[in-house]
Amino acid sequence: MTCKDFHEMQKTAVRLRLDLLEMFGCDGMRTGHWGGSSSLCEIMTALYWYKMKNDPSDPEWADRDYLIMSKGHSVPAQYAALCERGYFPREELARFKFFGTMLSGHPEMDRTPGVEANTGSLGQGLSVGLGLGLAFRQDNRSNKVYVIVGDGEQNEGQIWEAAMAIAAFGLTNVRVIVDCNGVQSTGPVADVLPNTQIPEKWSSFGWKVFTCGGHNVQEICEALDRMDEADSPAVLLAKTVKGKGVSFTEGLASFHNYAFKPEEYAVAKQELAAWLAKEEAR
Amino acid sequence: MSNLRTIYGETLIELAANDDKIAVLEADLSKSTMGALFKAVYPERFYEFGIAEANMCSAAAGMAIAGKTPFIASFAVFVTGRCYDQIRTSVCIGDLNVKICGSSAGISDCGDGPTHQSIDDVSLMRTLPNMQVFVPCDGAEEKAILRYMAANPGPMYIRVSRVEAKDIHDGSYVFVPGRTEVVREGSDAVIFANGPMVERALAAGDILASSGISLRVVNVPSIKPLSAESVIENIGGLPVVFTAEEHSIYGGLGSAIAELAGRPVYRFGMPDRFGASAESYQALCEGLHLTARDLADYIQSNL
Repeated sequence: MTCKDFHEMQKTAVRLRLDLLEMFGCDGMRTGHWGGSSSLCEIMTALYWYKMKNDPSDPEWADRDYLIMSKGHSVPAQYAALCERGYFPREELARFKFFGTMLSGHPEMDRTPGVEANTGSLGQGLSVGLGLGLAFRQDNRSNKVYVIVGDGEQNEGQIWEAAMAIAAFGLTNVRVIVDCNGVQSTGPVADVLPNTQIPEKWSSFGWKVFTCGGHNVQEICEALDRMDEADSPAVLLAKTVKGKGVSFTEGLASFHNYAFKPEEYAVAKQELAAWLAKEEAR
Repeated sequence: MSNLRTIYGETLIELAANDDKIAVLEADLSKSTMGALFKAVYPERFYEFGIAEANMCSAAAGMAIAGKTPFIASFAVFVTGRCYDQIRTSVCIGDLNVKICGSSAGISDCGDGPTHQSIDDVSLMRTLPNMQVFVPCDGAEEKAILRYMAANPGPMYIRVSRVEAKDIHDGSYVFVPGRTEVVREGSDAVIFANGPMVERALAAGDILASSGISLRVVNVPSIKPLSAESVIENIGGLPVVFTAEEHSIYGGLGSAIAELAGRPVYRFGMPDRFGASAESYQALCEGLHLTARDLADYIQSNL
């Protein structure tokens, strides 16, 4: 990977946000989970363009790595990445949430090429990843599983059941990335249910803890590479901004799941286009 | 007599010999579900999740995605109630190949009281799209159902009592999902029963015969799917239909038959109440009015 490649990926992440807007539209009918999807765009880029073995022409490729979106409501970020990778045609984006669509409001494995599990009721994806990891290990398969967990999602007890079990089973083929955007559905993570000492918690559950800035693709990629060297379960706490890229939405719970008004939509698009232009000029 | 829990463990061992996809998952109750028998023979395919049923259930979904046939087990009340959302989201929406054993089902865990007695598991499982629900009445039937579960894809639930069961079938029994089976001919009334209630319905038939009432007893091992044709055929034009189950009369076998019978159905089982602790299974059945005698009286008073 060269600096140029990382720069290209940085631009891709901005494009994913434009894809999010294309999905959500501003028709006044549909909401979209903008906040927690926009915070994931660089992470999705690092995974689909750098870290994960994946082949858009063969979504069922036996040797692929698996991405499990445990914070299922943020699946639009995954859809955007899958679309940009060529897993399905662009036209499908505008049909997000429509009846009969390939792109359901939450991940459905039988509906979308590249989606590997059904999630949406929070807290379950890490356990699904654990099951995949156990099966791969038993069959001597080299596939890796990347599970995306929300920082608010760490309220769910099942996350910690899975964390305990993955450590007990000694799995190193399941890697976790926590989208630490600091805000959940109704307010800041620190206010809704103060859940402090997160690194210490993971660490005391037997996990090696890595951290990175969640909007710098190169930093994410390097952290993911460092995780490969861990001979224990490993979690990456990626510091992100909810609503990243659209100034009036950043850091706010009110844009967690939101229907953009046409005038807001236009501003959002302009801001992202300006960001992309700036990256291209760099 | 057969110990249905032992048959669970033994049958999985038998099946695993020819199917390397089978894995057994437990949540610290393997010595009760008898998944421990499997562990002794196939330790590399046995996974202990500790007291964390929800995690076990979603992990089973992950194993199924990777091509395995995981069997998860716990007490029926926990593996359905505590994992309902995991069964729904992780397993059933994706129609995944996860097999669920609700052990110590119904009121069979007599001493442990209402927290440990499942009166709602069949109802919960029956309402889930893609889920199939089976309730064996004896060892041969349980074996046949487990074989079917291992050989066919999709989420399935089997309910296993901890009470020893009288052998109603022999080893040649063939299980056909959806089909109901006449186990006693009769001409005055018909009762559809499953699990331990089949044995009791047969005994009630003997009691009623001495009063000149001829009771047809129909075994219903498969609550979902359930063939309407088979139910109608075995009602055979009789005007009065009964059901008997060791489960709430809401949402289980009684409800399933009532949906198809096209006539009034008298449902015998747990009324709108929880179980209770008792010194023995017999004492609990007596206390809750679930004995063969209670059933015979119920039928007679509603004829």
